[in-house]
Amino acid sequence: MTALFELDGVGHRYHRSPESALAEVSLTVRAGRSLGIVGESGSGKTTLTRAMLGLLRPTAGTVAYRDRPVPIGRGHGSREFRRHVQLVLQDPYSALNPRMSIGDIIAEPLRIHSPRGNHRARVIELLGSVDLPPDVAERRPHQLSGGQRQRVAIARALGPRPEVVIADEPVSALDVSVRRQVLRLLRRLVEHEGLTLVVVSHDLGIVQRLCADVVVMQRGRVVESGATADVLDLPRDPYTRELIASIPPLPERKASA
Amino acid sequence: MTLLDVSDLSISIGDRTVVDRVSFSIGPGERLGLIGESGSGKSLTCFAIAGLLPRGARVTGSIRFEGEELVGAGENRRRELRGSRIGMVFQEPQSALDPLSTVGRQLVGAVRARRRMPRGVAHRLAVELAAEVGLPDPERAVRRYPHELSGGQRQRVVIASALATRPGLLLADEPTTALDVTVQARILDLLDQRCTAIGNGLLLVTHDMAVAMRTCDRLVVMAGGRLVAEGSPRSLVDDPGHPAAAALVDAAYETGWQSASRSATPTETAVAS
Amino acid sequence: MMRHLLRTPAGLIGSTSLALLLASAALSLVWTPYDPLAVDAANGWAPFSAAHPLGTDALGRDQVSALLVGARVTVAATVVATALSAVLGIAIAFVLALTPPAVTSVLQRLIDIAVAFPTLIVAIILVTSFGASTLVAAIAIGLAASVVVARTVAPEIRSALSSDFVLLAEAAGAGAGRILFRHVLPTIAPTLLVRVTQIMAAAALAEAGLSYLGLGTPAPTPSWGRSLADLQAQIMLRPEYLAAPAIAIVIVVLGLNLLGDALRDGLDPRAVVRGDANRTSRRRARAAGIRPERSVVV
Repeated sequence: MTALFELDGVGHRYHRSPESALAEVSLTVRAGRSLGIVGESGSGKTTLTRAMLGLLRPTAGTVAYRDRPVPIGRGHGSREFRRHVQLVLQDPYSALNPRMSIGDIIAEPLRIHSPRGNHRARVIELLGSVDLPPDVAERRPHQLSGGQRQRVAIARALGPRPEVVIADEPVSALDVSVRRQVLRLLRRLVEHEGLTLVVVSHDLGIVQRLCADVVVMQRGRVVESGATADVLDLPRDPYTRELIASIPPLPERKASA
Repeated sequence: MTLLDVSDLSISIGDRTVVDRVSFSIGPGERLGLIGESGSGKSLTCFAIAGLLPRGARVTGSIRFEGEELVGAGENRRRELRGSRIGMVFQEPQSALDPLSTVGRQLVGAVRARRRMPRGVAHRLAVELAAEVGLPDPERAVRRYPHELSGGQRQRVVIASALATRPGLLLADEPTTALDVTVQARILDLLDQRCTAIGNGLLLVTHDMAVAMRTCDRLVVMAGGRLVAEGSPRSLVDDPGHPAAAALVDAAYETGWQSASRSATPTETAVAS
Repeated sequence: MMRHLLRTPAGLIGSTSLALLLASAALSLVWTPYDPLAVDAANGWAPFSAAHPLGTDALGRDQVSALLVGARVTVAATVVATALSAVLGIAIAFVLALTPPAVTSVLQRLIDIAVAFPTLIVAIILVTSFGASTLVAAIAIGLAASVVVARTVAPEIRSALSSDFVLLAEAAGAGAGRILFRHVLPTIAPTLLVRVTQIMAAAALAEAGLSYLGLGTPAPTPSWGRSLADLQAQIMLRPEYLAAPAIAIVIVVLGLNLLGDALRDGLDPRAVVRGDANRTSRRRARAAGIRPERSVVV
């Protein structure tokens, strides 16, 4: 299976900070195998996503996409790269520019790559793929609920037909019933549309349902990695065990889900 | 005598009814979980018991605490109760604590408001309270300021100060939502342990069903301002009753963690690959 | 938004006075009752009459015409000064927002010093070098006001640049131009608009003041401020002649100030309701069980 992302010994220390946000992180994202990056606050997972997206230059190590170093900022080749890798963030309320229409928001990545095209048809198609009706395109973010906004954020990310979507806590800010809908949507995209997801989350339940592989991070380092089922059923690292033990369990259910 | 008896409680703000004839009760030492999504009215219900509703909110119905009717009781009486018989823990530890006051002073603040206490005695009490909630190095901790502590430690301080007066009832509104998962587990353990030691009743308001089920003996579910289900964790899971409650239970199971021994998780992840 | 504006008393008065100002200036371009520069020495200090509703000055020049043409000067100076302050102010604000923290604090202090610098001194310096004129006065005002704009706008730019939607635009490959024009400017537009209206009011007043001091529009071009200076000597004998330019200045400045207030009130609460409010307050609102859109509730 093709390796999409290849991170080797990536480390990062922010300017004037005594501690490293990341240290010796190595991981691989393979096409068709979604990866979960699990960590709590201070684990470095946000810094890691920024490094993967070329939004910061790591102070150590290499980040490669399809065997080529990830372009930093607006460097050479960045436009192509940014078509292939898209981002979805946690907070549906701040991710959408309140002064733009939904249609413009979704079309933006498309316009960046082909400024002259008419993207209206594609926008409606994208809205459909996240189960939103076409008339939503005329509305403004403040008229939508949190769940709807998050779906718009996903629709926007899908526009340029990316190979990888990095989702940073995609459902954490949502109510549980909305969380279920978005989770189903993401699973459908992964299972039927061949999308490779990188899900960054502290929520093991979500990672369990979306990702074939998982990487567990603590204080900037990878403490455990492997196939999700293996790592979560038979955790070896004490921190992974602590994470799993911390989750309040739901009583066993007799009826099937 | 029931500790807390809420009967036909309705709250309206402007012309919207945000809580609609909610009734439930908590016995002494009992733990009740109030579950609901945002907009269900669960937090407002909690604020109503505390007497902290915004101006302009109209309350009808009855809230009897230790036999005393709270609806219509004056602001002075509500404040008295808040500082002594009813303790509160809210979601954001940084906004609950005064950034300009030491931890020690805030721990004993409510106690000293009620009775005269020489500084030495107050200090010893503060250290004791800090130790009760597991703050490392209590002697040093009480001299610190809130910003010097981590989120979890701050929440411990909030819990300690809420329980300092040994209230009959502790109200906790999303006490662990802003915390990391491992910290959450420890804070829930702490709540467990302290409530058992002191014997107070607990009303835990949360959107997280698993958290409520772990800590509480009984649960009530709110949706759209109404109480739609009530029961033990087991009964709620087996037979939620109302469709809104059933939807919440289903969603919680579909999105929550499943230990592999009980579920189809391996199949799901295999498909994903 | 415009409709809301006209509903408040402040908005109504402000818009009306601005409209009057612009109308007078526009009218004066095509028609005035008399040539404001036409000297008619025999008709000096003519009383208020049908022929000359506001009388004439010492040289017999019609004061209604002078008022109308004076409006032109006020508009020109205000527009130039405001435009200069806005463009320069935004540019400085960007520099401020984009510099690394070490440099920023130094720049901040410099800007604070510049803000404290009286417009008058700037005007005197420029006039000494370039001579008094409407343009010079306008430029002096614009320069002085630009640092005020910069100081207001810089934190807004910084917060816009660190917002999630800008991050997402960058991650999607947006260039600096797109981020600037599609994201940052629209976000700072409300604050900027309010600031600009306040500066317009200040600029109108400043032009009048500078002209009064002889540092602005030179004779014989009519200017309200300079009229006051010219007529000042007559204040005991013929006070009524000072009324027109004085009242005109007051109406315009007060009106623009009120317009600024109305804009500020009209834009701010809506911004909060729309969800521009910061993340913490939204998270708190969510945790308290309320949709941020209706954040009127606790």
